[in-house]
Amino acid sequence: MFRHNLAYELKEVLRVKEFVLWLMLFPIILGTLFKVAFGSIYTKELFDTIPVAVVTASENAVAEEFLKGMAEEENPFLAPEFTDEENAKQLLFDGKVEGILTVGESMELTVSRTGIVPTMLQELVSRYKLYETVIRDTLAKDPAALQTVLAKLSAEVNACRDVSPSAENPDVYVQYFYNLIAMVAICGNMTGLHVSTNNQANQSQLGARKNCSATPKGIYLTAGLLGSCIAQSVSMVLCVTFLRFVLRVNFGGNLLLLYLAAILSGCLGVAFGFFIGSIGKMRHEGKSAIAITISMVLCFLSGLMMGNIKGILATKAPWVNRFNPVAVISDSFYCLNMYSDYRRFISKIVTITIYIAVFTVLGVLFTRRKKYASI
Amino acid sequence: MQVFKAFLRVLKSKFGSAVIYIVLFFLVGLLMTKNGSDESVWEKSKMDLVIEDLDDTPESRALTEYISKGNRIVPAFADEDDLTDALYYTTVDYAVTIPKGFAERLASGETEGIFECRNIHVSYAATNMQMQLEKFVNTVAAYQALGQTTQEASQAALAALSDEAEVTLLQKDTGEKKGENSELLTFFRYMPYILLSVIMNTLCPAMVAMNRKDFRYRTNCSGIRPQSYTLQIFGASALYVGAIWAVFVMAGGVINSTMYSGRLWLAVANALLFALFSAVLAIFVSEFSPGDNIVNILTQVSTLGMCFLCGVFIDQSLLGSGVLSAAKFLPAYWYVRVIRMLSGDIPFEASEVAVALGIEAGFVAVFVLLAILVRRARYTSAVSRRVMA
Amino acid sequence: MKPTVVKIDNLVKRYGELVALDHFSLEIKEGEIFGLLGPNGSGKTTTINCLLSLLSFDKGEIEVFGREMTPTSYDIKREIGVIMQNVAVLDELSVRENIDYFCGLYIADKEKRKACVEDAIKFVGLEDFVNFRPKKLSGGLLRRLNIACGIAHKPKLIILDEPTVAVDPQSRNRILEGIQELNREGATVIYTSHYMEEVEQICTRIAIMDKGRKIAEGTKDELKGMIRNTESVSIEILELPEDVREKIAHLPHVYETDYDGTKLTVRCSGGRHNLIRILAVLQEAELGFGRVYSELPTLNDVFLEITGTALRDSKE
Repeated sequence: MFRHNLAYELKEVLRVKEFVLWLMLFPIILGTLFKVAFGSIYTKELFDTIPVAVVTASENAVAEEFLKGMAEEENPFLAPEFTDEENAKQLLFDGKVEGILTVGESMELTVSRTGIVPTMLQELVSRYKLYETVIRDTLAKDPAALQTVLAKLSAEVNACRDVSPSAENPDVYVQYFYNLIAMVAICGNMTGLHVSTNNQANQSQLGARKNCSATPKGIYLTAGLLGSCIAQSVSMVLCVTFLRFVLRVNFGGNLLLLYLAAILSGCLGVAFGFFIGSIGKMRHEGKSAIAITISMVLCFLSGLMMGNIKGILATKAPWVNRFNPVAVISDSFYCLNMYSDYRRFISKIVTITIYIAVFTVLGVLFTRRKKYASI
Repeated sequence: MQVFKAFLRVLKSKFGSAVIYIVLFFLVGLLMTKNGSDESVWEKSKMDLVIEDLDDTPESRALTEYISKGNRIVPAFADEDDLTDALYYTTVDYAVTIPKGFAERLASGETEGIFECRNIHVSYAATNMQMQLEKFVNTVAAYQALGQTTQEASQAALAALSDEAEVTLLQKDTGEKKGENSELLTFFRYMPYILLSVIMNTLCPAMVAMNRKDFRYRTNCSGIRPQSYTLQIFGASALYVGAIWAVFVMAGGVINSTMYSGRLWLAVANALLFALFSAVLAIFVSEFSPGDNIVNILTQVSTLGMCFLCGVFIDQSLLGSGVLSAAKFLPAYWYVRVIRMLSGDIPFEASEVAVALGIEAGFVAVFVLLAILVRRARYTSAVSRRVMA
Repeated sequence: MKPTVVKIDNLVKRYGELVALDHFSLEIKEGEIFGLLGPNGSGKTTTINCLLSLLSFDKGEIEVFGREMTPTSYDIKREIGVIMQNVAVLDELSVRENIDYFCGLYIADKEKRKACVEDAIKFVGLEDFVNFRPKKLSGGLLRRLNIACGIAHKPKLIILDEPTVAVDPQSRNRILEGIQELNREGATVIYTSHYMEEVEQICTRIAIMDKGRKIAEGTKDELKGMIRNTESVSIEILELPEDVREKIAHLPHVYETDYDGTKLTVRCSGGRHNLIRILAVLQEAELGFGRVYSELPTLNDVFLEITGTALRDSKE
């Protein structure tokens, strides 16, 4: 009985064109677009030598020495281009350089925008001014010590001991892929919704027919849910496989656990749809619209559209991320990448499992009714 | 006018979900636009730092004072993992711990690894912070070499380091002051996403309902001419989309709290063209009679795809040149280009704006034609694929 | 005496203020084709849904095969076949798969099921369409598939809820013949409809419902015997003096006359030679007349006489 129901549930789900075509095609198209768009953005946000134009107003050996020092390190801070004022301005407006350093009596900075890079240039000029201050102080106190003092001032120190958490892939743009997987997972609500519609006598004639049959409700309901979960899992596995092996997105972390998280997430989507479908007497179309809207809002809050929203929420309203099932799903992938111990990952997986259980139990409670007040 | 009226009535029933999207977007718009700031005067870029001073000596306090200046200090996290998350999402740029015994080690001239630093991205901010920390150590060492005690030296360093260089902000005269109206323009920049989402998600189901076979056959049998039918459908869609556009323009006015003026009207016109494009795209898609779920998926693919490729969510300056040349084949690229010119990100050229708006209008025209073509091909040949009993 | 298959006792079902079933009772014996006749909204489908334990009801008892019917009476349900008013099949499955699926909800054994499915396909005449999806079937074929899904497991009690709505005459006849065939093979049938010709044609016993109540029950002839009218005579006549009409009205067995200027309708109750007597009166008065009809009462007349309103426009 159960196997019969399961087999037909699978047959049915896999034949729904919408499901097969779109739920599987969708991550492929969007994933590819994401890959194209984000492929190389992250590296642009990482520190790289800053190009500047240097205009010499009058000879200043100290300043030139100072700039040379900044440009000749192993990972140079500056890439100076010595030029005249006109050209420097052109370079600045064209965005070829970040600022113009005018060297004369002292050093002056001209930039065309605010932001972290111009701020760093400001720090650089401040540093040069620091030299002037220190030299002045030294000459006032102990001119003989000038050499030692300057040596100390420009000495290369490694004061920062790096105790940074280790991320396998620190690229923040990977989270768009996390969210993409999470979205595919939550889209499982489409199949979950069908399970509750097709099995309730007051939702569909099909449900009425099944309710009159000799098969207990528990059996075809379980078969329906299991079948939907299996079908959804297939699309989750395909999605992850495509992203990981075709687009070569570096998710970091244990791949098997990633698949496990993705499959569980798919089941969460199914359970969510089942739950929505089981409440109230609204028609299928109405419930479907509700499920879609809720899903999209949850995806938005999880950062599918704007990646920084999750960070903002983490500081302003951390409970949103903790309870938003889509955020929990994408966080589970993130935790695999970010933490070498599985503490957080497990807590996310537990949350997902609780969600599945709660949605399913509530859904069953609402649908277990065997008689209806009206059909 | 019957079709026109009926269509508006069908649309009205879809308006509920449109309202949800609009309200949500408006709230998010308020949230996002708070980031806008005046960029016409020089201001140091602030970093978000976590500083943990375990040493608590005059030396460590001097250091703390130095690096706190001009930056935002985020309270320390109870959970190490929360800090990790904050560093990942860059709500914290850098975290530094001053360990116990810092002052003693500084006094003994030890500089190697005297701070514990945490960062995830080797970003400009992190690099800057690291350089500042080392600058402090260097300066203290320099004053120590002058024979000062560590405590004196750190105070002297603090004084010497507080002298900040002046910065000249030189901006090309683009006609728009950079940063002016930035809140409003940020709101407009995100608008393609919401226009597409709302219009696709509401107009498509309504159109699909109108295209239903029995309904269509009945209309075909009636006296109404197909041209008139199409015209009425386009008219009703235009009215609906116009209403949504007007709501957004007014919402923009609320955000900006002043009336639109000068070149800002270009942003308004720009939004209207994009709204019209969304409408014709929705009409085009619905000619294929997709189900609600397919409409949703198609909407997501087209909105997210277009918005990411064309620089709605991520600034165009960050996108690769290959991506941008591909994006030129999408209307959102031209939309964003106009907004960037208005906000002074790229030089404002009246002719360029006209070109961009013209291309958007071209997209509208092309999709109108496509929709009509598909309609002709699909609906005028009324071949039933049913097997007759 | 044949055993009772369905027994409904004093069933009351309310939808808020509306009383859908008002102390409704029914007893159906094995081998009957039992017709539930009534206008739209009279409570036929509600009765069926209560009988199937889909609907909760406020009062009353329902027994099927002598046992109380509950939602978990799977052994009873196994013997029932239901054909719903609306088509309830899965669009993604083919004709054969649909029948197999629904049959599988009753019969676990694969071999046995296979035979049942083939029988059902043959029975409804869908042999040429077994691999079609429901969406590709025309209305009549779809109805037949709907029926096949309900009866494939060879139930002892078959419930058909308006199975011929929107069905072409050819398919309708086929369906009606099929029902009679199933009945001959031993199934008890409950058939609801608002088409009285159908009910008259196939049902062995009929209950007439109105506003949630059973207003009459019996065989076709018993029902017709319940009313005064046994024969209606209509005569086309252009001129009818009042005294002639009086004369006709006072003929034996005549209880009502009706004249609209072109047609005289005379309703009689009992008697054998009503037509001849009426014509004799007309001849005696030397009045010319056109066509003459004599009609036996229909179920519509029964309904009309009991409720005072017509059952429904019998023409589609």
